[in-house]
Amino acid sequence: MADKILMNKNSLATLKNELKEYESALPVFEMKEQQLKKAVESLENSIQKLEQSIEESRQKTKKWVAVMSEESVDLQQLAVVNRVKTNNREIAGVRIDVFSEIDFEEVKLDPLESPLWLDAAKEVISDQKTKYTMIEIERHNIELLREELAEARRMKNALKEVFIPETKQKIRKIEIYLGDVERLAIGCAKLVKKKKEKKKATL
Amino acid sequence: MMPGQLEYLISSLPYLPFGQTKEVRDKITTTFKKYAGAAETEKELIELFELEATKFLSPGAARTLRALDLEEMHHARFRESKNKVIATFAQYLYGLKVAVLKQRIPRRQFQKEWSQLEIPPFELAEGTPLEKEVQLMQLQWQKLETLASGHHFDLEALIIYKIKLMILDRWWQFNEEKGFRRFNQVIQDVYYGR
Repeated sequence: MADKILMNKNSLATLKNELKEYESALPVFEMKEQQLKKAVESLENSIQKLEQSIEESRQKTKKWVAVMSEESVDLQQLAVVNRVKTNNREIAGVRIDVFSEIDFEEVKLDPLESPLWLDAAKEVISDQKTKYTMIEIERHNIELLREELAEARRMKNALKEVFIPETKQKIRKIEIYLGDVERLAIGCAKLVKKKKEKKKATL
Repeated sequence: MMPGQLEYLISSLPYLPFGQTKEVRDKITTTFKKYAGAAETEKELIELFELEATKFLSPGAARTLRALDLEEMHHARFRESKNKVIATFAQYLYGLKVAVLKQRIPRRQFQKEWSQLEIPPFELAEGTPLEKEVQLMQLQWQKLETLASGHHFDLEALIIYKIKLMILDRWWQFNEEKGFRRFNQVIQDVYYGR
């Protein structure tokens, strides 16, 4: 049920203040929406580039990947992630992680006992793991930004479609009502004045 | 060991060419499976060969043959073997590994004892890690061919045959599909967010 509007000057002043606030908040949310949209697009592009680079590297590796079927070698141990270092960055009020560096556990391989291909495998696995980690970070960031983007959109739409038009409508109603009251008062005053003048004349 | 048994055994072994074609692989595997009989067909190629060869060898010779392991062939116990073929090949393999090491590790990590080794003159041609592995196997194969001269129907010939078979078996195990599957499993196992 819609709130009952008090048809007085105080209500009118309050509503006018509210409208002013809504109208100044709208561009803020519009700008926030734009910023977040741009940030999401940029992260999506960055993921696309990383995926492309992973694919290129995979195709290059495919030419010699057969050696990795050698079971005497534990591939998992070649590049075990020890720590992922990230920095914080703020985009339109959202704190996101920015990849800084990745530490792999030091693998002590006896080069005399390990096959030659292990060096190349270690390099390519570390590189791919780094890229997959970067993608994970960016995906997590996109999730955070999308949540905030949805909130900004909701607010923008609520202001644009509901709060501002409704407040304008209420203001219009009160202004019409107050105008009518004022005209009625003037009419009454004129009538009273006329009656008084008539009475004076008859006396 | 009956006289003539080694001749019989060695003559009955399939010829080993240096290559990775499916035909050669199938032919050799089928021959050894046939020799081993239906009960042993699940065994690995090297095991099948040993099963067949040891039937014709004295216990001591059988032990020597079974002990051969390509992954450990460069170890001191093989380099110092009384068998000249084993010792020569093991020393060559050790030298080859050290020569490769020179390219793999920083100079400061290169041990003093390695510098005194007689390193076979070779240079790995540019190529993928797979091509380089094949180059190394080919060098080992060539060494075995050199060592084979003068050994036709003796234990040394059988030793050379087994090492060649181990080299081929390693090469034949290189499988693109399996390697790619293992590679994919490893790279997608990422740390962040867990």
